[in-house]
Amino acid sequence: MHRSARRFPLAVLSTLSLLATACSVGAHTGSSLGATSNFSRSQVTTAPAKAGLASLSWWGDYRAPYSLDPLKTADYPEETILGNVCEPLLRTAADYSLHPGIAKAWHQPDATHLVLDLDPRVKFSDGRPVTADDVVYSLKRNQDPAVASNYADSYTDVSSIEASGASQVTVSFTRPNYVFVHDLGILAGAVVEKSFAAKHGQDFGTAATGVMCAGPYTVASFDGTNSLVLKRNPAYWDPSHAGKTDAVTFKFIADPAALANALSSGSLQGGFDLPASAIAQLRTAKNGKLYVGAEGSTTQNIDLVAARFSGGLADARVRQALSLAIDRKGIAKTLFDGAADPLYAVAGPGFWADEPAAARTAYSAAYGKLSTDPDPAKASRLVKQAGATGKQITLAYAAGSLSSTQIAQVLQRTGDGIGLKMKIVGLPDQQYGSLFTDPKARAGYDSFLTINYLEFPEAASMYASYATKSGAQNFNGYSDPRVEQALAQAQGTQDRGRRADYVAQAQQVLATSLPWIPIVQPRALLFQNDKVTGAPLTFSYMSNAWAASVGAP
Amino acid sequence: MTASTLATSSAAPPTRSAGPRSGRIRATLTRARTALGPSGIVAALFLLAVVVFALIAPLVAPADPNAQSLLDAYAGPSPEHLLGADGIGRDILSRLIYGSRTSLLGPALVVLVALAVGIPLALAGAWYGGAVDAVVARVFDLVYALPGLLLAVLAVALFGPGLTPAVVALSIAYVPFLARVVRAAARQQRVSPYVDALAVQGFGAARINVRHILRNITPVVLGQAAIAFGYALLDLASLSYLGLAVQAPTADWGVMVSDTDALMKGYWLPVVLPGLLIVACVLSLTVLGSRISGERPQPYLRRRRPRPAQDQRRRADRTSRSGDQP
Repeated sequence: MHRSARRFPLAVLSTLSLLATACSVGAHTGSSLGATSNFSRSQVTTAPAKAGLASLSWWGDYRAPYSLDPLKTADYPEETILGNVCEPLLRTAADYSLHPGIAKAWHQPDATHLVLDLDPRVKFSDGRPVTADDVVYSLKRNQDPAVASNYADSYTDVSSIEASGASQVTVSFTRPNYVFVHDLGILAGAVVEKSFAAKHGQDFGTAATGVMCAGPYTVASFDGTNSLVLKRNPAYWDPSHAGKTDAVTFKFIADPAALANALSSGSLQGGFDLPASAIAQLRTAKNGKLYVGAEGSTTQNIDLVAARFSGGLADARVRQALSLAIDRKGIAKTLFDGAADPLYAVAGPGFWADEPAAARTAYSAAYGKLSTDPDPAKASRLVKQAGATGKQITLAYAAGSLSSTQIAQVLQRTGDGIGLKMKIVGLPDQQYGSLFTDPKARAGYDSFLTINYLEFPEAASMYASYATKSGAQNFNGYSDPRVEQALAQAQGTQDRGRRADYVAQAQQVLATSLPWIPIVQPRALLFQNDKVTGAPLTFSYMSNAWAASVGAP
Repeated sequence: MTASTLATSSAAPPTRSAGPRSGRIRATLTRARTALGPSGIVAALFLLAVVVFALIAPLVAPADPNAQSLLDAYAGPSPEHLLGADGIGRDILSRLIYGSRTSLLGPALVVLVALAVGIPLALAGAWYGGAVDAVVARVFDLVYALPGLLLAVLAVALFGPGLTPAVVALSIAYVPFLARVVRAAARQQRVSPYVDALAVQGFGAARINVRHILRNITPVVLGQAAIAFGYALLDLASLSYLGLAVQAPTADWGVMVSDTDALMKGYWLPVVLPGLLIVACVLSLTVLGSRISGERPQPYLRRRRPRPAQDQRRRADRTSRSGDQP
């Protein structure tokens, strides 16, 4: 659930071409261009497609998927693409509501059981029917250490997954849990063919072997690095959700300038999660429209993660001081061209802005208490009180990510300004990515930047991912009984208003202990060519079969 | 008195012994002007200015190169920021001035290390010949076959990004680039009569190589070193551009050129100015290197055919620089 980022193409050797490029774009002199939202919160998709397309070319994000196995890596490229191939048990609509999919119905008879009734029509792309056995096998893969599912922590409370009938599966929990069902609407609930996966073993999901799933598309070709082509699944079982486009080609471009050029020239017809630096160019593109979301239009959150509770960030007062000194509004306005908002809690408005009124009120009130302007003087006093003046704090970031590089430099200056000695270290993508999986890789750093997200807006799950003992993103070993208890109660509460109260309790503790320091929340940025339409405007595209809805206007 | 000093004095123009110190300086400048030519002098003065600015950066930079003001992001030229500010509100002029330090230090280290390793090997090969020379030559060929940038990327992958691994890797890659020229020049000197004369007089190999052969090939070495300096500057700027050498927030021209964010938002000053400086430095070093090593502009670059008198003077210059053969 992290994002590492891209590399720039080599080019200094062509400095003269840079000159030409630079001269062609003119010289602005000053204020930020500023991005303003151009669609309302109630608009969750672009206009629906009226006809099909022979082909669609789409940005597959900053790199190619590491694997086609839906469970191997939870990152932007995999989750943008693989939901179209390996559909989850439930469908998450653009407004994040859950709908029948491979499971035609589901219910929780009590807080510790979830019963799923499978749709008998469902077939894998090879024509074989999807059985309860396939579903049980697929879900249990998340608990298999040999598979090393990136969604394993979602299954922490799951005690058993069993076929309770020919077309029925029952999931049992060790403690009350009403939020797990959302995980069945993302790749954590993806269904794969048992016989195919078992036959291919470790080769399952490689570019050569591929996968066998029941989504509206299948993988036609994948070169492993530059291009992945999906073709419409001819045996797809649900005509109402079949792909409108015959073939979808994903291209992987890391350089923001190259991406903006590809979109504005029409060689790519669309892309989600665009870099803020592309706004200026795409806003004036004549062949399509750049959609800029409002505050809280995604669940993305950019945070400074305390990699360990020893060294420079050991004292909570130092973390508080750093948080207090960060100019969040300045970062959002300047570095993101206005396409981001200050973030005062890791689960910000993107997690609760569309909740029912009672829950939204509770979340909003709790969040409002945390909003604060930078106070460097108070932050300096905290650093002195902690005896941390002059202490070195190392901060690692993805050197290939422009926004991360800029944020790291701002934080470095911020830390230095309050008496700390910040040392920033830019890491290549691969090395940066290992910070999320390998404790040894994190050992040399006090902190690192993350562009994080959750696929669905559930604050309890976001906090559980990094602030509970079993959380997959608990990189620093943080543990607080108050947080554990509040989040357990939140996950076991069906009423969303009461759940919000529990989450707010945990959030209040986390705002003081700050294992993660929230910085900003990016807004949704989607570009869509005039010749295509139907893409979702929310973060719901992650893990879902969004491409099926895209076609001609 | 050694052969070299004898030769130097005999080859020196009459003004050399003109007496007063000012006269000697004038004579030196005259010789430099003659040797470098107008283009070489312009290149040398430009590089001198860059070096001086790098040395006195804290005195001349108008601001701390890392001081930020997000409110001033991409501010245009103003009395406060003469060349404007970058994407996080840092003064571009100050970063250009401070950036000259890393931008020059890295290539200087590359060239110095490459010379320190390459010259002894090249001289040894040229002096002993035979198997020693064959081994040295093949080693040079082998290293020469490795692309410097690729070697640097490998070093960064092994030891992490930073100036040190990049400089070490490029130094290795640049050894044959410099040493092959040294070896070729030294082999020419090796068969010269003055070398035999020195050997007959009982001077040792080390003394002959260091005090005579090396001194005689100095113009060639310096010329090649200047050209290598330019290439190394470009290579390190490329690596910094890719995020593999100089790391943020250190001011560096290569890092500054990599600011694609500025270009995409339509602000060209933060990118074009360091790019221009890189181009100007590389060009100056190439011109200077060519002039020092005695190369002349190609005929097709000349506007007019040189007059015979000029031609003769140039031939005389070359003779005087080629040294101290008895």
